[in-house]
Amino acid sequence: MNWTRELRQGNVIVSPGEPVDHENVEDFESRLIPSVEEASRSGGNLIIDFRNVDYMTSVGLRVLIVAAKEAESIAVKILLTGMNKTMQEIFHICGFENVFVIHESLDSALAATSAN
Amino acid sequence: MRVRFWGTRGSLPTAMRSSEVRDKLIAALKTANGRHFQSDAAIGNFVDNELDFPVRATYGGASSCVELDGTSEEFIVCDMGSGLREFGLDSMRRSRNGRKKVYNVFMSHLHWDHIMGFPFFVPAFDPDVTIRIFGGHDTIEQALRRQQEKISFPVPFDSLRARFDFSTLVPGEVAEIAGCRVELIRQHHDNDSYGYRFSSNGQSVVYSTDSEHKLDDPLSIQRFVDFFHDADLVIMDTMYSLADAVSMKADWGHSSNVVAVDLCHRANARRLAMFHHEPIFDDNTIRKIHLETIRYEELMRKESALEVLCAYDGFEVPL
Repeated sequence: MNWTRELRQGNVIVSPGEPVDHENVEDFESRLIPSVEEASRSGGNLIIDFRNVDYMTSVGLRVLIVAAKEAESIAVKILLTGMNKTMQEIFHICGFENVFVIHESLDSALAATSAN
Repeated sequence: MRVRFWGTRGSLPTAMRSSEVRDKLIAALKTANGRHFQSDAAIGNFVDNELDFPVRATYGGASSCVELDGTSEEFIVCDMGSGLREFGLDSMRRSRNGRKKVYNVFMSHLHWDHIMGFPFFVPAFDPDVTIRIFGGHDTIEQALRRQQEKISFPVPFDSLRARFDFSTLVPGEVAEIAGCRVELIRQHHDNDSYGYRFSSNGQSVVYSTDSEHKLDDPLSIQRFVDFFHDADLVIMDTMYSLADAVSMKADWGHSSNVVAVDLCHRANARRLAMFHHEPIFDDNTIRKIHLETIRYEELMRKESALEVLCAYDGFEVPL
């Protein structure tokens, strides 16, 4: 899986490079969960930028819940951004809107983390 | 083959409240908007064609019971939830018209909502009836006898006059029953449950309820994809949202609408029937979830379309 990662203002920003389904979900999980821990070590939060993710099936969505639980246990916040209309609809259908904070832009997500 | 749903509600039978009937009437009259109808047929036409499902109908509240018809002169039914009572009465009517008085019952598991219809299954009192009960559990007879013990029910099992035969089926083995090739799969549920695949005359129906799918277990998921492969209809437990199924209600033994679509897509199934509806959901909520599931299927479709149906008590699917 294509995957970019950067550190900005103490926050870890990751961006999966493709849709997530059963073909690549193990790779997705093996990259995402350590990113939560990295955010904790750097004293910041985790921002997931979905700009290159056209869609995500249930197996990938489960990993987001796992990440959210892990983040909660170590006082890290997960913020989502870059979601296209399909991803927004998927989140709505799956009941994920109430689980994650979704921002319209990366700047907005970064501003939210610094406000905390 | 024809599939007939006699009970589609999960966990606990439900009944519509007076306030819901009132709301439906108000919605129907608002849609009619003062229109005058010339005949009962015209009213029926208006109801059937201009009112949305939750206004003109209800998903119903009987617990799990699904009939497969048309594979032989014998009856096939999955689970004995409270929907079994009405199935029993209807099957007796058909038997009076010459249908064979032999019932083949396939049990997903023995939780209360899946056996509670049995004490009210009138054919069990007919000495000319044969009832064969199949399942993956070897405790089916014990469960049925126990719920008719004096402490719970006035009529003991031994008062029943039908001939009974209990058989334990084994996953991986194929049985030929009532014109069907029958296979089963063990499912993740408290004390296990079993899903069934019925194949006859080139058509296949999968009945898979009370089954939680562990999305972090790709081998288990693949097992179900293989079991559902090319099915003409998959009847599947879609009780929870994905968010609930993988968090708050993890290990409660049920699945979600989006997991059902994903499995059916991977299996190249033709139709999905959403089943085992959450008892706290009213008709409007179930309809909303049905429409969202149709939309999810459209968003995730890669190859051929999966038709997403939402089962209700009295629903029939001709294959």
